[in-house]
Amino acid sequence: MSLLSAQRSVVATGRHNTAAALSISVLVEAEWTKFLAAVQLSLREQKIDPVVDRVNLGERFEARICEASADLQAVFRGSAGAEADLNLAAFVSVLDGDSSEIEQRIGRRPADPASNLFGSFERLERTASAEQLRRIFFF
Amino acid sequence: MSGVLPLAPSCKIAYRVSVFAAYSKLLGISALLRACMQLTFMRLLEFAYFEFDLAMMGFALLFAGVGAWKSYDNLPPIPDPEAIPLAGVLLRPSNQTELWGAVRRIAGSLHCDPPDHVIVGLEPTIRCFNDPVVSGEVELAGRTLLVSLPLARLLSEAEFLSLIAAVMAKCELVPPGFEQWLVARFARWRPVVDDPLAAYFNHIGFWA
Repeated sequence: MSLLSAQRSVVATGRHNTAAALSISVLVEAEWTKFLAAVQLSLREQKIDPVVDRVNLGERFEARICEASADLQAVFRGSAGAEADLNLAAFVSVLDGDSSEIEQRIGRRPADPASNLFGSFERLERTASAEQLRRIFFF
Repeated sequence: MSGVLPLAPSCKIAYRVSVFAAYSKLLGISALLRACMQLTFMRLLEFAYFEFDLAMMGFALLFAGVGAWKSYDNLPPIPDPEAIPLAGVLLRPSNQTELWGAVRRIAGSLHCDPPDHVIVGLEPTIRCFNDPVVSGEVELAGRTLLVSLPLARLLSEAEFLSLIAAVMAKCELVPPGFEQWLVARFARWRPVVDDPLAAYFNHIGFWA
């Protein structure tokens, strides 16, 4: 993400929103690969049929992020050893966001989640989850 | 590498030792060697040493240039650009009126063209492509926005839209075809970046 594009989004949507969104998305991206590996392992160990249309990956991931909230806050503060180089504070300081407010909000479900923008969100997520699981197992 | 390494176990060990030596020791040894050589030749050549040093640097540059040119010449040709594969579900404006409305509103605020297609996926990343993409069996030309379902759960509406605005602003800066060109252009350097020494040995036919 270039600084120029971040600043253009600031003009359109506000400083605090952009700072929080960029910080949280970077943290969450780092967690996603580990999460998929764990899902793959658990499905193999339990010997469940790989085509699991009922598994909702998004829901599980949200639960995991909420569980790992304290760790994520440590990463955000830059005091978590190897992961400290994420340097999330850079977004916050450049975009003039409130770092303590963002830190408190990491891993907490927002009051107005963006899932409200999608019609039939749960169904959409299940479809995408099934496709993702097929990709994990068959490609 | 898979066709190369199973030759003999001793070969494998020698390869690993050489990689270790190259990466850990070569730099230090070469610096020491250079200092010794400098001192010796300074003593031998006295004032003529500076011309000698210049000539040596010239030769070194020449050899490096020839080497770079030869390896560039022998690399496989640049492949034709292909559509970028994306895993996700295509969202039609007729089904997802609220999201499409928000995306168009953001595009209007940024004074840029709205995306032609919106794909929703499970990777926690939001991206915008100017190049053709493939979702499932369908190839989509024009501008495509990839949005994320997990992020839609974890971010508020305003934050989610601000990420969309950021990627659309970035997309506006990147000319169409550039990412595809970049990927195709540098794909052939991948083995060199992954393991330079193995690429060099393959290049000179060391294992053959």
